[in-house]
Amino acid sequence: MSWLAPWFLAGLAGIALPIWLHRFARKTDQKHQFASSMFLEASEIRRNRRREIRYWLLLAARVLLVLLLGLAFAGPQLRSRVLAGPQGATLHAIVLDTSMSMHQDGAWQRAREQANALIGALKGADRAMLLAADYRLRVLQEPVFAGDAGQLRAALQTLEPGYARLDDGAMVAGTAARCPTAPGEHLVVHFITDLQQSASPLRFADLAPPPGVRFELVDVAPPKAANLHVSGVREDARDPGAVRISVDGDAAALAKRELVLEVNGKQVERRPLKAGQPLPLEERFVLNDLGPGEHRLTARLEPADDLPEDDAYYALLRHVEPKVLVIAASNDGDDAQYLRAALGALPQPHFSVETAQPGELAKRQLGDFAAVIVSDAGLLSGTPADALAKYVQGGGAALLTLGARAAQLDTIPVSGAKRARGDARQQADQPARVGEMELSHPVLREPGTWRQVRFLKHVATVPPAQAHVLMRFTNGTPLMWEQAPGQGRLLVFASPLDREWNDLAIHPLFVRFVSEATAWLAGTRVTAASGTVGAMLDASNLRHGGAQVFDPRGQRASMLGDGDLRWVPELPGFYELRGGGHSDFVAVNPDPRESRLAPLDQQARDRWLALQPQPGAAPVAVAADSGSERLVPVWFWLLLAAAALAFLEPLVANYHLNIRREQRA
Amino acid sequence: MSAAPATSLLRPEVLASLSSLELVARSAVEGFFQGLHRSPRFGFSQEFAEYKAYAEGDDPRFIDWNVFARTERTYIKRYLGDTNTRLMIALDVSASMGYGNGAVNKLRYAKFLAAALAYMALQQHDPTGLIAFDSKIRSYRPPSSRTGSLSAILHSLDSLEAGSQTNLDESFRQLREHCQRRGLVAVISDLYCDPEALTRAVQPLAWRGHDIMIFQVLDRSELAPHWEESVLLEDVESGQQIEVSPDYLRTTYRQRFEAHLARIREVAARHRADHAMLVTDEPLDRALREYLMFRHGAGR
Repeated sequence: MSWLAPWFLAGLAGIALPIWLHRFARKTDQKHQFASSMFLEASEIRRNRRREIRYWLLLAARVLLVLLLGLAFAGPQLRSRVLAGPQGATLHAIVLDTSMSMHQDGAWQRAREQANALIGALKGADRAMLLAADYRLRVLQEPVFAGDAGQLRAALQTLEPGYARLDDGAMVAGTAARCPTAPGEHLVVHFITDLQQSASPLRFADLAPPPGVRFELVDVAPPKAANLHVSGVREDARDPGAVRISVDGDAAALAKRELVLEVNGKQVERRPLKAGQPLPLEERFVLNDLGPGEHRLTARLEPADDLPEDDAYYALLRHVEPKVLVIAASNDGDDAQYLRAALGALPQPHFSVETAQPGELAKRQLGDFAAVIVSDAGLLSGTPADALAKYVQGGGAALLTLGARAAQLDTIPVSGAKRARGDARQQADQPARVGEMELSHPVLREPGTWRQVRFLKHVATVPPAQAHVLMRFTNGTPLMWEQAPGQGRLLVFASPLDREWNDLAIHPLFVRFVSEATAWLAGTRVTAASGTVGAMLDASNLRHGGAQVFDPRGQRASMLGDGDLRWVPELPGFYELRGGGHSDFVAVNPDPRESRLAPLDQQARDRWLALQPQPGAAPVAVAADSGSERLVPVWFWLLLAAAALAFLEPLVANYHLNIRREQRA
Repeated sequence: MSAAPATSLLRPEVLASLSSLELVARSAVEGFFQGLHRSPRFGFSQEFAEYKAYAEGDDPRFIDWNVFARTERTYIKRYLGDTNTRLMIALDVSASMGYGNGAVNKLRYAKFLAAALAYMALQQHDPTGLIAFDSKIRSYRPPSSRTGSLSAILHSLDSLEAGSQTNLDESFRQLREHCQRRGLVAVISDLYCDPEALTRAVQPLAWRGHDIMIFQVLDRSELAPHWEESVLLEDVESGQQIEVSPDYLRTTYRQRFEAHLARIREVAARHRADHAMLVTDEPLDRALREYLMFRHGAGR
């Protein structure tokens, strides 16, 4: 026997209460004084003792009542051995595909029916558990025997498919770890899915089940489904006043469909789609009178097709042109020209670039600029350096590159980094390559090409203790680091952007680096304002402080702290981040691979099933008469007995009271 | 008080409402005598017997000043009662005497009776004493007819409480030591004792020439206990608890009690003692009548 809550056994001490009460009650029997007992019959004493025996019966009933209550609350479970069949016991893991594609016509209803049928077929020592698989694998019900199949059905009843994508390889890898088999128990995974081809992992071998696990595929996809979805909305590069909407899917679903564009919740245009045209197709919509700021665009296909969940696409359009101030020694210098060219070449985001001399820093209204790029931090001194430092401290962003002028300083302005001494300073004049990199940083997205850049010279520095080094040379000297002085952002690059000290400017990487770095500094990355259902979304490019996340239904979905601005959206639509006195929107769309309903062909299915061990090759030999132990809860029966006793106790007590309730006539 | 019929003052519940035992005694006795005056059968009162020349040692309070005015000689007026004897009241204050279900329990009724007897006796100049006992002598006041004796007796009665078990042998052994001269002994008790013990108690007194009156005070519920259902009864003296049935109380108990009373009467008769059973819900007049009749007989 085992106990679910053994601490409740301490309640058995309550048995002392009725015992004490009975002792007390015996002493306080209702009695009447009488002048003398010399004429009373001695035989009456025996009758008195008979009454005490009846009290003992009442005491026993009360003690038993307390005993039953204490035991019932302690949750006793009796071990009952269940005999297994000749093949041994089996744990049936019923895994339901809850990805977005399961919304397609009738698929979920069939999935439920199949799951119920599997639950109904459970018998003997076999157990079953229920799992849901989409971007994650959730255990909805731990293994239970056939007697507790109601729990499985209850869990199944409340389950609905979501909007995320399922990767079959991740599901196969995770299922075995989530299914706790008993010794000698087989694991059979019943995967109830629409078997999308797009759900297959990149490596087919990832579908191989772990040893000892047998997979059974239950296909619930409709025989034929045609789906059309909006695959993207982007601003027209040539005409900022227009957007291009991409539509992809099955051509059969094109007939009698219309593409509807809504801006900020209002329909601006409805356009019928021509049947028979090749897919993917792209439609251009002109947006008139779209003012500055952020706009929410929704492209929707109407009427709904077999999978209506992907008929809408959500996008954010920013009609803002962040201004960037480039500080250089000369407007015609290489560094200034390269920076202007790189920032001007970006289609999105589009920066408005101004160039100025270091002396103008104090005169400019720096708060108007999203970022300031300084071609050589050595140009800063005195009032200009103070102005830039104040700007960054107050929430501004700056990119400092270190050139020949900075190499003459002991301390880098604004940053506070110190010039290195000893070997590091001497190696600064030697050619160097990029070594260690912080690949997770948004500025460094293409690590391979960075190592091809040749650095002839650099400024060897020792960043402040609170700096986060993003890139180092092979000799360990920092090349780029990030600082967060006050409320702002600061990137320091230990080499100039001209061609005298390095050849970065001639690499294709240069434009992307400048744009990513400037966009990150300015907080205007377009990709940060969009995400995919079921994928981690990082809002660190949008805001610096914590925020509350509200899902498209207006319900709070998450609370983001100062340090971690990541969450996983589970619904398509516009998420809103509230905090710090303003709101930011993030457009979230389903993974486009979920919109491809084409099923896995028969050959691929056979190959998948061929990956698993053949029947009879079970790794664990199971005796024919082996069984498993089942824990049978008995608290209900104990409570039932206690209730019966609670009903009988007043009757017994009342019977005794009939004798004690004497009244003088 | 005057508005009420005189005999009603003898009812225990009326006496119980009076504030002091003296008032109780006076009310009981005077009410009793008023009732007697209406009856020609009882001519005994403080009947004049003779005049006696005053001599030294006589109480000057009893000088008849009317005779002195006429004859210029001092005479003392004597009554028939003056020829009688001293009265010793033996009051049982055992725990069983504290029992009672009515307005007055047995001990209080016994106190009324003792107070009335003392009042009446002292009115007739009988030296009166009091002994209270349970297992031994609890209180003793020697017989006296002097001024203040009544108050002293009443005060002693007032302070008495129900005590422990009854032990007649020991109590009466001590009583006999205090009653060396012949006289009248009034025993007031519920007599929950072995009749043989009562014999051992009163026999030496009778042999010594004492006139003995036994007032057996009982509560109505002791004579005829009545319960609808079984009842757990506790002896107030021994603490013994016995559950008895109504049937038993209706039959066997009463038979045993009657047998006990019969044996008490037999013991009393054997020793020429007068036995009167008094119930606490009855007026006191019967007890006083018994006393006067018995005293009258004893005084002759």
